[in-house]
Amino acid sequence: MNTTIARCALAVAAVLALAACGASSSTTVATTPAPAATAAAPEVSSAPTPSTPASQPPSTATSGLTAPLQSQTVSSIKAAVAQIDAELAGTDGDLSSVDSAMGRGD
Amino acid sequence: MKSAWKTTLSAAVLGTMLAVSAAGAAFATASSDPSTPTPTVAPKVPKTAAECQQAITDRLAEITKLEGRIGDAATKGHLTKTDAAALNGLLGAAQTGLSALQGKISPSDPTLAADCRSIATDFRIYALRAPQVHLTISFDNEQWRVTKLGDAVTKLTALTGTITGGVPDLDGAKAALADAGTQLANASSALQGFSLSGLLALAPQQWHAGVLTGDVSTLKGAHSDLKAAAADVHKALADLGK
Repeated sequence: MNTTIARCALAVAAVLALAACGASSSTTVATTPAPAATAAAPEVSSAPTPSTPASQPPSTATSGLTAPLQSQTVSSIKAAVAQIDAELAGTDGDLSSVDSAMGRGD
Repeated sequence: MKSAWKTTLSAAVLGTMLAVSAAGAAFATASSDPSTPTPTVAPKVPKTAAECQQAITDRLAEITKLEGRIGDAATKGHLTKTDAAALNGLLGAAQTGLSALQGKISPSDPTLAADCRSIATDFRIYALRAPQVHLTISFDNEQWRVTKLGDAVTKLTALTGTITGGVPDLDGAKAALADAGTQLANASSALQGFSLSGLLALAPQQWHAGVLTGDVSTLKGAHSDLKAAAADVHKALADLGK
């Protein structure tokens, strides 16, 4: 049980760190050079550039959630949240049952 | 310099106050306290042998119902096997004790009044065993939700860092995810202050009217935080056009 709680605490700490990072980066992202501008560098060099599969998500900031991996991630998140929504009602019921029992002495 | 020192001191004082406040909250809602001197609600005591038999039959039916809830929560929900076994152990002992009492109670029972009273005081099926089941299931489910929602927030936050626009409201999504992180931290903190072993160790003889108040308050608070976090994730998805 303590291990589970510790894992939860670690997960939440990671979420907070990422969320804080995401929130503070809102203006930074806007000033990040667009991919097209940085893509010019390899053209100057004569060294061969490694081929990139067409399905691979962009490694730099882009516009909209369009890459296949992003769509998969969003789909899995939506499924998880749908499951959480469905199960929240069960806990409502459990806690409501406890409320009823609190008035009893037997 | 003086102003900077004051600012630093104020921040330190505020931080200490928050820490003390958080610690106090954790203690206040920490767990069941069988020693708290709150008044006991007088249980309804059946008088006749027939009434006592019916009272036992009702409790055995309640135990069966609770065992069903445990089975559901373990197979369809997130009640751990260890916790399910602990709860089934408590209910099994109550079932054995009540069945033995049922065999003893009759109109000619010389200790009928005491035996009838013990149906309530020695077992507390409605006042203690049923809440122990529901609170344990709630606790395990809420722990699972903290992990699952935390994972969703982490992934969505990472995604928002890979885009510059092209979605309905990127800043709104980031703000919602930041709030979800706060709600999850609150829920996680509350759950860490919850003593499941203390709850499961409570015996019928330790029961009093306020014995579960702290546990109920803790889990309701965490439940409310998790609902808010789930709503934040929904908003973030909508802001991202999903």
